[in-house]
Amino acid sequence: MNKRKKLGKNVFANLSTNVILILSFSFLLFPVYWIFTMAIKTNPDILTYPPKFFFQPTIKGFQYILGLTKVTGATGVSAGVESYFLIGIKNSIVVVVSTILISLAAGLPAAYALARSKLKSKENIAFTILSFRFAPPLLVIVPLYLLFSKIGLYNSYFSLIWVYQLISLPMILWIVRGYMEDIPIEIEQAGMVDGHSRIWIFFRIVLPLAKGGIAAGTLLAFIYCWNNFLFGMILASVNVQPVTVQAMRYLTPDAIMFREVAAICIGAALPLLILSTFLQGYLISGLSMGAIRR
Amino acid sequence: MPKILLKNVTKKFKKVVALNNLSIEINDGEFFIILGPSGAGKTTFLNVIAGLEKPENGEIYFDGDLINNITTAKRDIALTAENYALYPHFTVFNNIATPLRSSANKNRYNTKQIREKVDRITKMLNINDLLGRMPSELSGGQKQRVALGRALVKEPKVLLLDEPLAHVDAKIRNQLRTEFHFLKEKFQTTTIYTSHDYKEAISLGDRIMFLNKGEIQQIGIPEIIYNFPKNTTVALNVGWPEINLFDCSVNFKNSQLYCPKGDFIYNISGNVLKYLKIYGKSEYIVGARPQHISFSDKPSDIYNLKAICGTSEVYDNQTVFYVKIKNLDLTILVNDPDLSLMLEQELWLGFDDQSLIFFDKETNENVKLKK
Repeated sequence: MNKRKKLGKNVFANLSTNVILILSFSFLLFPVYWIFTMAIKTNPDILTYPPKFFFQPTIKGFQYILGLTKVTGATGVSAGVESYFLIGIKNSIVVVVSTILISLAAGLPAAYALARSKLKSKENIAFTILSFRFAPPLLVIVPLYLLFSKIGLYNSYFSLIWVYQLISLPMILWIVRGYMEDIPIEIEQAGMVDGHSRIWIFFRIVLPLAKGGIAAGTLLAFIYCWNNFLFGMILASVNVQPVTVQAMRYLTPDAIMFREVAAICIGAALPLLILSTFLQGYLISGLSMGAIRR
Repeated sequence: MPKILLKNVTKKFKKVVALNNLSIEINDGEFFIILGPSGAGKTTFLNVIAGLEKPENGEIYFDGDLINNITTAKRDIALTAENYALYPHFTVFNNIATPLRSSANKNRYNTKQIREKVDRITKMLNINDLLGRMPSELSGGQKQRVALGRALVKEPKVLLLDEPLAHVDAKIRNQLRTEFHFLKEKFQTTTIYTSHDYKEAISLGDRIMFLNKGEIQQIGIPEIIYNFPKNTTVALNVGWPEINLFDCSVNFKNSQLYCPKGDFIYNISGNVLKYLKIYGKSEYIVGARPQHISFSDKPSDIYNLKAICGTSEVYDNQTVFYVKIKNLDLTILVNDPDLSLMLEQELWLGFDDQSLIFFDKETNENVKLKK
């Protein structure tokens, strides 16, 4: 009797948990769904009221942003349309990948130093680096624009990569540092006792054991850099701007091309989706379990 | 020539003094045990010798060479940490082979030599079938063997073992302790071994150093540490069950000893009285090992102190009784598991006064060792 009551309660608890989860996920994912349907609607379908849930899908939007359609002008001459999407993706990849590589090259040794050094002011240094993320980007963007224009850095990959360090370096450094602090110092000392150098210990012990943190930090930094809009818009022009800014090309003086903007949104999100799926496995860091008595 | 020489070594962590002005010689090939309660500075002592911690003061010599400024990697030592500190991402084989692959090694080994050396050590330690496993797949005892293998494969001049038996279960502990005897004979390496278990120390050590709060309390061979503890701290930490300590005053005129807490008078024999007289004070702390107190159920000349029996604990072939003389609690160890006494039963105790240990009441130092 009692047991059955308990069982019933469990089923109810399970059911309600699932209902709440489904509701919240639908709420969160609805915009994504809506953007996706916009990308495969025709413009009239997008603009009708009440909104249409059933419609004839079209892939013209994607064709357009990939530069696969030809547009016939008033004079009858047809011309290929430049794919701002592909330019943007290329720029995003160049800028973000370089940014992350530089951040890793500088951030990993820095994280190790800040995790292990006995320097008194190390907390201050770490905090200073974190504080780069406190200030709103709008605060620095105008001075940066003026500065970069003066020294000829406006509209270059280099300037974006440099400024993106503000986003990625603190993130990688702080996440990885936490993981490195968790590595038992005795394991590193064992490396020294075994006759190895600090460099060997860093590459062969610390980095492999902080793998989970490096993956997490890299992924987060990648997402934040990839999604950045402001720096690209202000500090670069069309041939350097990342994909997030290129979406604006479809907001023309004649018309707002909702379908193409939606398509570019979907296209820009895809690399992140793939990367997250790929790195997910690395995020689980049960590696250091078991080597140390706990 | 002493293998390891420490001169006035002091190590502080901020304001906490971990090692206070230690000076000590450790001989070539000696199995040297550092005994002490937790927080005594044992691990710090090993780390200072290993070069993992830099002492604020003092000098460390290996074979007469000052090594204060030589890095850990170049010191030709091996250390097993209390928590084993295996490389979690390496297999057992690679864990043990790591010291052989070091660039600081005198002679570079090729893959075949490394395999041979690892094989030899792992066969000796009975972990030859575990070479392909990861540390997370090992039991505590196996991890300790791997850590030992990693230390021994290097054939170091000095072997530092930090509480190697503290965290393995009782059966493995006895097994490993026996193996340490074997390793000790086989390698004859200068070994410094820390422990908080006096039995381990007495069974293994050539010499024992008792460390407490960063200060050397006593250094000596095991028999000396057990029979002539330098002070009450050493006495309390060496021996099981814990030694009975109680305050006493000695009346030299009628060669009697009065214990205020138990409110009893005890006659002491002439030779004991003699060295107490030479020492010259009349207030002492008396130490009586539980083994050295005997009792009878009837009063007699020898058994003349009336006590009340409290609880008892039976071990495999021994029984520990907790008895009371007025307000004085005493522990007695009897080598008879079948002996049972009633709660509140009356007993008549007698001390073997030759084995009583007298400590100065003010300094807590052993009277016999005070010159």
